[in-house]
Amino acid sequence: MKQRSSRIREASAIASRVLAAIIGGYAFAFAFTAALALALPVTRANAAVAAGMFGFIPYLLAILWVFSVRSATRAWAGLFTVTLTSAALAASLYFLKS
Amino acid sequence: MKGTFTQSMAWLHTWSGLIFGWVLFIIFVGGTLAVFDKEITGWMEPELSHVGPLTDEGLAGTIAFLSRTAPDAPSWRFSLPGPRDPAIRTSVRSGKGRGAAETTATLDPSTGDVIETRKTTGGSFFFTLHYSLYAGSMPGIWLVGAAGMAMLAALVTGVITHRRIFKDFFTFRPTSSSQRSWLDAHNVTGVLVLPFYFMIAFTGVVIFYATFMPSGLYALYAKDPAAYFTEIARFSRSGEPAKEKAPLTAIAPLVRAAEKDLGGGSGIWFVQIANPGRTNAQVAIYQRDGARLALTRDHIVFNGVTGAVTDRIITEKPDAIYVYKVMSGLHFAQFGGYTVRWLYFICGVAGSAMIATGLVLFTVKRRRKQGAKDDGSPFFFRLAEALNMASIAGLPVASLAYFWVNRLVPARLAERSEWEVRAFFAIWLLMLAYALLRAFLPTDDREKSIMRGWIGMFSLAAFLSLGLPILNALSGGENLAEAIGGNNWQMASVDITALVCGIVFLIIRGHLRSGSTHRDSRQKKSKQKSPGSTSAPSVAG
Repeated sequence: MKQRSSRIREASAIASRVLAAIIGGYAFAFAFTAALALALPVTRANAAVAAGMFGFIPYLLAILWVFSVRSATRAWAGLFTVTLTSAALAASLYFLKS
Repeated sequence: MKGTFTQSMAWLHTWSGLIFGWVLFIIFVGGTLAVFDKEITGWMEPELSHVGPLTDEGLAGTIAFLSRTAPDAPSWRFSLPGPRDPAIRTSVRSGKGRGAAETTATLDPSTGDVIETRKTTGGSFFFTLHYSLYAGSMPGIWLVGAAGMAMLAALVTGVITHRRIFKDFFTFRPTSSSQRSWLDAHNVTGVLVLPFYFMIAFTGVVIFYATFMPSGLYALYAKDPAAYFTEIARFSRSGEPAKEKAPLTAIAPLVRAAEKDLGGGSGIWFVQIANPGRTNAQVAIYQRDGARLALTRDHIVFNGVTGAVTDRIITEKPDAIYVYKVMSGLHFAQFGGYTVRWLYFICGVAGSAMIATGLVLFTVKRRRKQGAKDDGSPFFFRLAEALNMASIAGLPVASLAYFWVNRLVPARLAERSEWEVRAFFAIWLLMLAYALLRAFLPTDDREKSIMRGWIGMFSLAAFLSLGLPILNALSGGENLAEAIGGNNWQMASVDITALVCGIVFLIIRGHLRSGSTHRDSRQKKSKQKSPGSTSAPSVAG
């Protein structure tokens, strides 16, 4: 019985990490790409394309990072922080420009 | 994760590689065959062996054909003959947007007369399988994109796990234990063209950045969405058809003018005519891919009534948009002619082998842990065995059957090209059902049952490959000797590649058979030594 509940705990920790990698990582990359596109000092077209292409690299790094930290909670917390920072940066750049 | 950094990266490698491995294998095999999409289409249209060169009459005849058959269509499009396709291909869409039905025809470039070829999906089948798995446009593309990201993750974690990468590269122990030789084969095929894998997976997801990672576009173009088309996508928009009619200008002089203007020596690929027969008709003439590495899609736009140049879409500046075109060019392999095509084909085969050996390695390891008598083994590992069999051996069977169906289904059948695709999936489902039976039916010796399934499927694949050139000769195609004699290498290459595949499948089958008889005799010996003991696993510790 004890063994069973520890297995369930282990499985849900893994599931949580997988979700963090796929969804949390994507949210971070999405916000990061928007911020990068707004920050790049080139024409609008070039900034949008360059940021869009580069955006897959933060996603990849986020996925790898999620699986290398000590706990799933820590992974979620880290992703939450960087996503919020990127989104805040993107929002402020957006309103600065308009 | 548990344990060290390397251990958690190895865990990610195993599981992202396994879960997405089956999908990635389909994507890789489909992409590898799509490198030769037009050549496969050529093989699948044996009616099309002799057509004349492009002439002005041919172009005028094409316009006459389109005005006759589709006078009210919003736009016409036709491709001109080139090194990989001898015919003019017309395509008319009934409306705009994704759902619009498409009507196609094949014309003789010297006369503009219709050539009655069988309706076939041809090589573009493998292209669609490659980028959307036939799982519907949007869900399919997203699934393939997810597999692309998983592949990037599996590549990075694979490199981290195999730190002795260069030493491992020179290590191949085919005669040592089976797990070691599977691992060596996975490492060799993995390291051999590692830069290609990174390139092809990264460019693959980047091509769809506007779908997968559109936040930059949203942020910069939210207030002005139409500007996306003038600043980035840059294809000429034509507006709605005008009410008043006006005759279309002659196309041949425009094609010559565009070819001279575009330069590059690769010629014209296709002509797109918007609002044909109306006062606001517009003719866009596109350069053939392959003039350079970047997939530029340069084109000249003419007024369709007066024939005056109205726009020139030509890539010049090396900027971010140009980098995007280089990425697309690297992925689509339209540059460098047949040398590059064969290189991509070989790298694709190596990639498919890397994925296949990785998948097999997973089950071989688990089998070793479980022992040969695995009737108590969990559901998931049996499912993994079945999916491995259905993808690695079943996909080649279904793909080869697709070539057979092309010749065996009557040429005049209604919905013929749809039936070809349905036949492919029906046969693949049969392979899956067979693999599931082999993995789940009650048996005394699970490993033997599964091994029989593999041997059976590879026998079938070998038969279908080796028989393909014979079928081709018997069903209206130019036979191998004629094709080689007549220098028709596009036709001959399909037959020769099928023969080579057949030999490879026979070799794999031979290895599996000798491996399983070897195991049987060992098992008997160990049973004689200690009757009743659970038999020795196929691999020595």
